[in-house]
Amino acid sequence: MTFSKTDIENLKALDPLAQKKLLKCYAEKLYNVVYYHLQNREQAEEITQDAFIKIIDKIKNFEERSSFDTWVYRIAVNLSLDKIRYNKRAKRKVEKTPLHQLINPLDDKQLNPEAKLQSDENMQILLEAIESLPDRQKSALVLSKLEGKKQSEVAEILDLSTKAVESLISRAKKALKEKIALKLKELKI
Amino acid sequence: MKEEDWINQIMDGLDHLPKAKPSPEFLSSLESTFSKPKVISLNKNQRNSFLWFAAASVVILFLINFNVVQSEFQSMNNAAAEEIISDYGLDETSNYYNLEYYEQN
Repeated sequence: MTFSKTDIENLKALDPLAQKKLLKCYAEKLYNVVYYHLQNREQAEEITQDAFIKIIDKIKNFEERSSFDTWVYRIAVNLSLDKIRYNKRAKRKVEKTPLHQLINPLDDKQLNPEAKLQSDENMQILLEAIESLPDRQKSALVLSKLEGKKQSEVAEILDLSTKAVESLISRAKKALKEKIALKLKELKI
Repeated sequence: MKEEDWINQIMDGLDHLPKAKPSPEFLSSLESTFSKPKVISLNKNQRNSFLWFAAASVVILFLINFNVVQSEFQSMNNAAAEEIISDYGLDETSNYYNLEYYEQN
């Protein structure tokens, strides 16, 4: 389902059907991106809602200098990063909502319980490592790997050059390997 | 398994990161948030004009009310004064000092 130019015009006119379509097109995508930044269900819901409020509030100022998709993701990422900074300033210890509580079990294609368990443990280590990445690296990696965005699209969302995004993703992967290695040493594997 | 292989196995997970799904309750609350009747928001100029109009209306109503109250008070005072005048025989027709009498006498 795509959000067309007509839908954008209808959204500017506060058409309820256009708003409904906006939610249908983007609710799960934005929630996903926000969750990977915050890794907490309640905060992910709060920020996702804030993102939609902001989109509907600011749509009249959207001048189509970037694509609508880019603009929407940019709002969600910026709000997520703001929330992370707020949590750090407030020295708030945010309890992580484990991803398995949020995954649709029908998406889980592992049948072998042992392999599934190992896969879950590996995934947990990876998610913890992603969560501990610096903000920009995290955003670049999540948009690229989770949402399948091209580097040029990620660059537009984060307002960076494509080269800068390439560098961010490369540094993110290097940092992930270091963190995973540390974690494995802790687990004495 | 060598540590490097283990790390690579974990890093492979980047290519199939699981999607976090929002709960149905959250999605329906999100929908209901945006299906509420919209409050028409005024822009700054419209808002300022509206405020001036409202303030002016209040002042005009106050002045009208003040006039009505004042004239009511006035007429009450007049009515009370007339009562006193008639009670004490002080109306224009009565000759309190009875000058003619004294002049005659």
